[in-house]
Amino acid sequence: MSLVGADNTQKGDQIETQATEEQLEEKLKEKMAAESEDVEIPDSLKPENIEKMLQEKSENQSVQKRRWRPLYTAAAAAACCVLIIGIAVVGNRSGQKQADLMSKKDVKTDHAGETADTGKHTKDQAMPADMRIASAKDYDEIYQYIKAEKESQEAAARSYEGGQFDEKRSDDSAVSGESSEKAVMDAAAGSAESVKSDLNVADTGSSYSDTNIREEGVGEGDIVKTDGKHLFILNGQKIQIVDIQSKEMKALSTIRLDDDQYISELYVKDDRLIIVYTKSEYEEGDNEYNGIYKQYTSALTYDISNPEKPKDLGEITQSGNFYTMRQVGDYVYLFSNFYADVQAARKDTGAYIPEINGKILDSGNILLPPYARGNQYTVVSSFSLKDPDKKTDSKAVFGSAGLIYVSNDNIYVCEAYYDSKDSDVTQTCIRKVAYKDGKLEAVGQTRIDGTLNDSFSIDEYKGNLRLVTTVSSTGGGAFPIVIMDDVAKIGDMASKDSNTLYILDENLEELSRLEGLAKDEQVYSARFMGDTGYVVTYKQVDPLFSIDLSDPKKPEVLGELKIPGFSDYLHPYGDHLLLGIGMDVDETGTTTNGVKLSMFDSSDPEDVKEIQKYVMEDTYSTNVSYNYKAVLISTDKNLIGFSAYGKGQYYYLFSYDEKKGFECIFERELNGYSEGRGIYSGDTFYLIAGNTVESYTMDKFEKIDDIVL
Amino acid sequence: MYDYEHSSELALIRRAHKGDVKAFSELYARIYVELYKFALYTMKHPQDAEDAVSEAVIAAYENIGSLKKEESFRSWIFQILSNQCRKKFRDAKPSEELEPNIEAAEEDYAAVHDVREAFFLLNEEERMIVAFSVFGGYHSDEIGGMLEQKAATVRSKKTRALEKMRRVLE
Repeated sequence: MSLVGADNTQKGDQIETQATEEQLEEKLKEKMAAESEDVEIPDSLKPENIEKMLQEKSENQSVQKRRWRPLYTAAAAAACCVLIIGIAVVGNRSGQKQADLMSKKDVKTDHAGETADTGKHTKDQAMPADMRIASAKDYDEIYQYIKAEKESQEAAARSYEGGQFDEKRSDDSAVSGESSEKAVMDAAAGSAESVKSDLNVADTGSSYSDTNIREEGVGEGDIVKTDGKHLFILNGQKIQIVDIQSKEMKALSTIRLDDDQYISELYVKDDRLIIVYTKSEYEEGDNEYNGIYKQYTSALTYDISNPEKPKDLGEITQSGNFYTMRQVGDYVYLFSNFYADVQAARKDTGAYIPEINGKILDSGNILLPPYARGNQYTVVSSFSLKDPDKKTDSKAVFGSAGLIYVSNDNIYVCEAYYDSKDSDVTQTCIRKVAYKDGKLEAVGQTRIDGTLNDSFSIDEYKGNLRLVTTVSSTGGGAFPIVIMDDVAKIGDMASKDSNTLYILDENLEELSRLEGLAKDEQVYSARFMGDTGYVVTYKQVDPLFSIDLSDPKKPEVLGELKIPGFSDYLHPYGDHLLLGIGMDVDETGTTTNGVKLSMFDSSDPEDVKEIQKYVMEDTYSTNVSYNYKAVLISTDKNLIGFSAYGKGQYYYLFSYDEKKGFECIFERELNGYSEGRGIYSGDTFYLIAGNTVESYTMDKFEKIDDIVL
Repeated sequence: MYDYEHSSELALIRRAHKGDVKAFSELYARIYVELYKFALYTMKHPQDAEDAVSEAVIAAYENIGSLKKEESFRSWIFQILSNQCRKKFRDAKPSEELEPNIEAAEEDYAAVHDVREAFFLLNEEERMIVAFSVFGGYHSDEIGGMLEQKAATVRSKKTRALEKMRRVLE
């Protein structure tokens, strides 16, 4: 990265006596480089000593860690397993008697019989107390929870041995807090889209492509969007609109936000463009040392009926960092994560209660966690596309924030929960909020064993919720893990992980579970497709399990396929085909050979086969592993597009043929580090990365035009 | 044995996410010199610099799960380190960190032997901004992102800082 202006010398000529700022900086760099060359790095900071120190910490039971997911020690080599789970569906209620046939070991039958037929009833009726979801009575109640969280953090800090952190640790959580919030977002980010029950893929022959999404019918934002006539591109602080109606692309207009407004995503629906951004505002404290930065997330809507002159229609703003957005019907749902300041005074409500459009959220809209403490919120607000400067409804799910999954009718907030006093395995708290036409209503909550890999590990189907979790021990071992600063010891995890499939009914009561899937392994990807679930777990070789879900009270493992390497992402590809994108790993499980495409034939779920495989040698990673929106998949056009990293970042397009397998039909280096997106409209393919758009014919991939924005 | 040394950053992050200490250490090994220099020029005392780096490393290790996979480890740990430095400034007695008097500083600039000393003509925020651009190679907008300030503000603060150091540098 060059810090010196290119026109350096020129400026120097003009001002002979005074060095320019660039020259000063260049000099400074030279001097500092020369001088700092002989800076001696303290021994304690040498990588080998840091490694030793961290290793010891990992082994030291008293160390606390904040972890979303359990840790693996390096020793366990990699292996991958695809477990195909057939998980049964709701509709099949005639099979209640089968409950009797269920093996006790596999299925918990407590609620199975009685609740299956209750249908839709009012929320709190007949619901066990611990599954009822409560709103806060007042801010005092919330403040008590935050104080409890603070005390717990401080207690954890006191018990911390040998570290550099002292009792000010709760202060540190400001540092780590920001990142743990990201962690949570991250955990959710790796998810993908859902499938029609008939196993057809989501793309139904539309003439242009849309973002790869998690749930069909629930729109999601991304960095590039199209309506078939225009491209809408996030480019730094700008949104740019490009006309693609003729062969020659034309930049139409630019919307520029302020320097301190960081755009996360955009969304386009008919004549509305929604820009979601985050900004932070400094709030003065009592003195110059205790001011705080507050994060806000805003959704700014434009009327783009004239795309040359987008018209600002107003925005809504809520506390916290942007997490995600969804769009259903005429409504947009905006999600952010807000951190309460645990040091806040009771009177300073703004520091620990989220605000919507500058107004403190009413306590009745704050949903309390199932445990008596908390310091984070998942804030959700809805607004109508017709009236985008007014909120329709808001709720804040209070607790520790976590992964979000949005089905066609419900929002699920899933928080990892580790408390060795409560349970000797890792757990997840799930809270369900129903939504319809912008209105939000709390439904219920529950807690299950294990943690979720990403939002593909949770799936609503015919009112039931299916989840696959990786269950790790929280006690008895040498490997401690802490969430919310409670010590939860994970033992020899490589030998203690296992995976569980749950099926819950619409009230989150358990219908069934399948335990002990793929012992010693962790879920790497999952996909629920109608009555079948597919799960990839991994340790050394990658088994793909198929599970029959057609009877929700009696899920059954159908088959298991072991292949080297693993798939991070699964996507249905036409009838009976399942595409896996992941990494190829050699048999010893130690060397990765590159990004791998696999095609699984699931026509016989009891005998799933990997029928084709393609290893992209010299590549080491793809964004698809982390972000399902990074992939373009169209069975209609027979296209699989994504970028991968090797010697640089390249965008690839593959086609698939049952006989010939995967064929790379397009390859293009992307400049810089911007994430690339491929989009098609009509018979033209567009490759967008940073400020550049290129268009290609779709038959031969000949370049048509390019434009630099 | 996994080849850590020749692994890509993304591959290492992925491993570190899963608790692989070696992968984390390799990520650290690639930038620790820059980290230490950044801290050394930002903090007055080498001991504080050492502490800041080791605290940042522990915080990073404990929170590696929160590193968004697509963002770079480098920027992320730099941000954690700058937060640690800021925290140390906050914890220090306010009197120790009064804005240095530029006239007084210029009077004895002859006594300034090296750039590190010249650095202490700057206030703590200016030191961080200059250290970010010199050791981190970051632009004003990126620094703005890390310090939660506008890019324009960072630019003008940087100009001011370089002006303060002009006599030492020329």
